[in-house]
Amino acid sequence: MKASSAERVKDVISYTYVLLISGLLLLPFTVILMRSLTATLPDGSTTFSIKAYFDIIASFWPKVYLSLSIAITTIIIDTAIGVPAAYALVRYNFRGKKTLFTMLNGVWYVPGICYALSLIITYYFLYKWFLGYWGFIAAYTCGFLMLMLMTCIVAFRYVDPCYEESATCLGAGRFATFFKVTLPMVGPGVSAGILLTFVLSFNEFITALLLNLATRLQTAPVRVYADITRARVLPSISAEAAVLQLISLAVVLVYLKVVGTKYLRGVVLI
Amino acid sequence: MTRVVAKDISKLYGATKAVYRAHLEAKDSEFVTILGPSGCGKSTTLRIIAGLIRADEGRVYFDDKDVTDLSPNRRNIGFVFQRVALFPHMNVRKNIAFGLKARHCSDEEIARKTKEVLSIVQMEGYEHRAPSQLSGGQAQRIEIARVLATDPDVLLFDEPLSNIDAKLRDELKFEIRKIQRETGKTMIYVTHDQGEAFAISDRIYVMSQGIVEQVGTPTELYTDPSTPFVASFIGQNNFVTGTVKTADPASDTGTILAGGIEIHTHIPHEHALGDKVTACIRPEDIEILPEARQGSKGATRARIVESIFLGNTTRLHVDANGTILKVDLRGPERFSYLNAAGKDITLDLKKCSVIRAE
Repeated sequence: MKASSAERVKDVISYTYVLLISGLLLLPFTVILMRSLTATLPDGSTTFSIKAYFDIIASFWPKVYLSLSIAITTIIIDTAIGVPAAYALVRYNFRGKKTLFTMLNGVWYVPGICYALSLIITYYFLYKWFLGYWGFIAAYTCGFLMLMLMTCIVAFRYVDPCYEESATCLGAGRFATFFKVTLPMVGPGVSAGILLTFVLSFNEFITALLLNLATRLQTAPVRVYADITRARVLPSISAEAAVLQLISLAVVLVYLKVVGTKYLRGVVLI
Repeated sequence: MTRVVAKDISKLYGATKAVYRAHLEAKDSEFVTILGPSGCGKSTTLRIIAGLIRADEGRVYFDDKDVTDLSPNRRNIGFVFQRVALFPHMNVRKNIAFGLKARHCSDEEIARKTKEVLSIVQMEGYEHRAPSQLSGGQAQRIEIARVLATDPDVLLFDEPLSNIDAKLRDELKFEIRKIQRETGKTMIYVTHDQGEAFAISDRIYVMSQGIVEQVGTPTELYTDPSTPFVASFIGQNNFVTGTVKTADPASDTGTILAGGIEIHTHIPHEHALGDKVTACIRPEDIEILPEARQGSKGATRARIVESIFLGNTTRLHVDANGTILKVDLRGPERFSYLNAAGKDITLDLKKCSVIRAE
């Protein structure tokens, strides 16, 4: 009986702890959501309302589309570069491989503000060729390539080379082996890279803010920032923030439901 | 049906000779095994034959065709790996169809061959199972079916049973042999397990430190090892080093004086008087002579030091004039020496093979 009471106390403490942590993690989102669903009546009192979401359709959704477009284009280019590069880094040994890898890893240690500043300087040197939509794409492609590379490297390392050797011995050529055997096996790993690249590039702020100064292109997070600095935390601004969070959350939940967490292991940010 | 020749192949990793001037040959429809301890170069040799590794020296021929520069997918081989390499994202049917699709077979042909090879490995009805739903033995059977489906000229096995439990291993090795007999395929099999090699092979190449030590049938290797390594690696042996005291070239017999004992035996003609040689005597080949024969030529007196009952044998450690020998007794005789320590006996050591001393 004594042991059972002790177990119960342990359970209560454990569950309380988990609920507390979950609450803390969800608190910012909950606060934003609650604020976005509030409207102030003429008499000063507040009521439940989804009006804020209608208010932002015209002004905010174009920014969301821009952010989505930048994130998706970045993903396409990073996948096209990152998957073959990761395959080469895992499967082939060449002189300078470790040095190259260390240099690529260096991206993690560059503060975002320095990275953004260097991009602006570089773009001006390039006679403003990149100022505009493709300037964002170039910046994000470089900035998030390592993320894609890392997840793909982890995925390729999971695949025993004997599968590829087996396919070759069965008569498949290099391309057939890669596309029919290797790629389906690293699919979940590549999708982890896609997920992280999406979430981070969609919500990226520092680089987007500085590039906004140079390009006048305003992404959704920069729009939220601009609105906050201009008008404080109105329900419409909370609605903008909630939309951003909901999109990211939905993508992550779909990924976790379909693939799970296995391929997120070994990634620097996780 | 293809003859495979790996001619003087070498593969170096830095200063390490993984394989050094190894010459291997598997005749049409022959079951050849490469046997050796870990790191002896047997898998490297097999992978060179498959084209998965490129040799630094030497050529590989399938019949008279030089395939050295061909990639594995153009050699028409079947390779069964140590680790089951069924593609996890395909079911059994798709795994088997993979090689057939690479050969542009029609759907009807794929269906017919899938059925045929599943019948050979006795796995009918498993077409729609995922590899994760198969046991180790079943997966290895499907792996064999998958390579058989492509009708390869040569089948290569790289320790395919090493990850399977002992009982199943025993069954599968005979199944592989049976499949070889039924299909008439040339097979090259790599293993470190001499029991496995002896059970299924027509001929065995014994390798050590990258070189081929000896080639022969299982019987030849067991009864007439030609190098100290083969003598020690295959079965158990007593090694008695001494010099050739007498030699009769006419009958290839003579006497070896080793320590305090004299061994009258067959001595190959390449050993001359005074040569330092090692007599390799199998524990089961040593005979305890009955009293009536104790004065016969070559009889050696000894004293039992220890007697160990092992079930189907009794192992004696005997002291023959200072040389300790292992003697294995089988049959009813094994019960006669259960508590025989200290007992004097007479041994016949003539059944031995003689090799040059290291």
